[in-house]
Amino acid sequence: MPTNLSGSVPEVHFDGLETLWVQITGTLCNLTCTHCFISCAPDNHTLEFMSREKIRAYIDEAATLGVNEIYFTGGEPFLHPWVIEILDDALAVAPTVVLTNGVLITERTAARLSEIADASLYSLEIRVSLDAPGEQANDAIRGPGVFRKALRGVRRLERVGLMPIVTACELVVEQAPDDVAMSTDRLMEGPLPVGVNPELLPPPPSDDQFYNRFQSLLREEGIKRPRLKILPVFNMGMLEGRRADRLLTQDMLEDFDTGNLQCSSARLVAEDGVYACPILAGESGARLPGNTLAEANKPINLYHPSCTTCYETGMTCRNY
Amino acid sequence: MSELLNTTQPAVWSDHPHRMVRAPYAGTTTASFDHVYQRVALFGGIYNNYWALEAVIADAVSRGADMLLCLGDMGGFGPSPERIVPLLQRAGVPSIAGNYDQSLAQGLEDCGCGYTDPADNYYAQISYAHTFSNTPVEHRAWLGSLPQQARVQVGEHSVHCCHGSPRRTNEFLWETATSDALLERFLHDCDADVLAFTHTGIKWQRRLRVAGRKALAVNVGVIGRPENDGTTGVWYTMIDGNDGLEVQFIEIEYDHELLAAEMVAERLPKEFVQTTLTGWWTTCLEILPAKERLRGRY
Repeated sequence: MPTNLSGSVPEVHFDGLETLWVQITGTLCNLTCTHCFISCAPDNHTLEFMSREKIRAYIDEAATLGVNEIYFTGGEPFLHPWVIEILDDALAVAPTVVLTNGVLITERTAARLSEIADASLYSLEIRVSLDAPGEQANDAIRGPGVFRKALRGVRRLERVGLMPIVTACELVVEQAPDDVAMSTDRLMEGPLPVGVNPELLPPPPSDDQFYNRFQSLLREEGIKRPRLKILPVFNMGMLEGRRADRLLTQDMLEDFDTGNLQCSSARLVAEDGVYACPILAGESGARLPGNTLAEANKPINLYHPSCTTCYETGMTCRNY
Repeated sequence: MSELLNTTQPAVWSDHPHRMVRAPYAGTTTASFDHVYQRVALFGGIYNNYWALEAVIADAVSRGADMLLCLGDMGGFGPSPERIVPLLQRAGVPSIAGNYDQSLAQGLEDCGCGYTDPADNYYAQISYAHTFSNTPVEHRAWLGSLPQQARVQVGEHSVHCCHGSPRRTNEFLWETATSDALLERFLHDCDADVLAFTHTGIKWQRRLRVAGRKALAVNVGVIGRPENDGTTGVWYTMIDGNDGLEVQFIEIEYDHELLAAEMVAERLPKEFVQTTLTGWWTTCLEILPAKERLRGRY
């Protein structure tokens, strides 16, 4: 990993806890995706499962700090034996999101998720990861059979009225743009409104082939109202060293609103403590001193190459 | 009311005694009214809907409102943007700036609504380009003069008004995606009994307790577009100082078919026209949380 030799590692002020991330199953996953940014796998015990009691203590503390959203990630959250109960604990406090590969969503799990979602004032969002709108390209990254199993999970969630968000990573676009080329008919028809200069308009969404191919795929799967989020690739974990990212310096942050970086308002809790953001789970440089969220209310260093990805892409792991 | 367009334009805010006070969050300006009012009508999201604005003003006055306050986003979506500012001025409605108003005033490239989906942003940009091209420069200057937040005393209740949230003009505070904990933090930081906001397009309210006191958070809805429930009416909010800590949501029917005809004449997207005529949202849907999305048709 490159290091910042200039000595001017920039800091980000913490604006208060907006988003709590929970590394519920640590680095343990039923899949071994080739691009996983924290190298999750069935045998990666770097970060272990968290207990329901420990998570509930963090949720309760987060509520006293004004938290607005609680996200669950891993690893694969649905490996956890108490995942439904833990999500229910979170839904009592705040809008809740769970990130999953979708493979383990059984009909019973979908039904129980629907029950806890219906019982809460807040929305429960289920984000299912796919990497390509085709079986071959997707499974080359996520493993044999995963494409079909993940879509089965999406359909099961859809049937119980949970409207999952499919989350796609841009890796396939970078690797094989021709493989995903396809246009659709989502362009607005007819002339532009009175007084509108066409040069001021962005390209229509029908030009975004990756996006539209996913839309088409989900519609073909019977998903009437597809929801889709596209994420950039992080060059760490399985992809560390793929590309030499420069490190951020203080100069680069002049005139930049660090409030746009999720580490200004998010913290991740894992079995071994609190981290600056969900991307850097398990990275010792991102681990904050102490074991409480209150103690993590302090500036953090933008020391990692992945900080540059957030800075350059404006990405957030949140839904919006 | 066409004569309203030809009269001298009053500044509005200077007609209502107020002072600028320290804002709860950095980078915002807050105007605080000097008088105590008894019955205040709050509305947001006009979205160029002249006919709904006219109807809301008449309705609020007929119900005895002694103050009407607009929480911003005058433009977007609808036809003939040049009609809105003069009507607000003539009716003497103090307004705070929404993200749309700030973008227009500053000549920004987009509306700053905060969408993240490419299709949502495409339709938002068509809408913004239409409003920008058809908003007179003097109206943009007036929008630029508006404070970002307002405080108004309604009977015993101190009401803090903002567009999206007290900390960010374009923050979406949806009912099912906003925690009690966050609202309580806002109410505490604003030192208010009631926090009123708009921006999302769908009304809701929640009763809370802050430091042992009853408090209320209320999304006042928008009057420019129906709220994705299959009916064509639009909603505003009345808060009465004698009513205890609660608000009344009021539905307004207006000539939506006339508005739709004007939208067609100005070649606005047929998807927008469909929303006006059916009450179902057709665009900018990807920002909705699951529960709000499920309640709609698209």
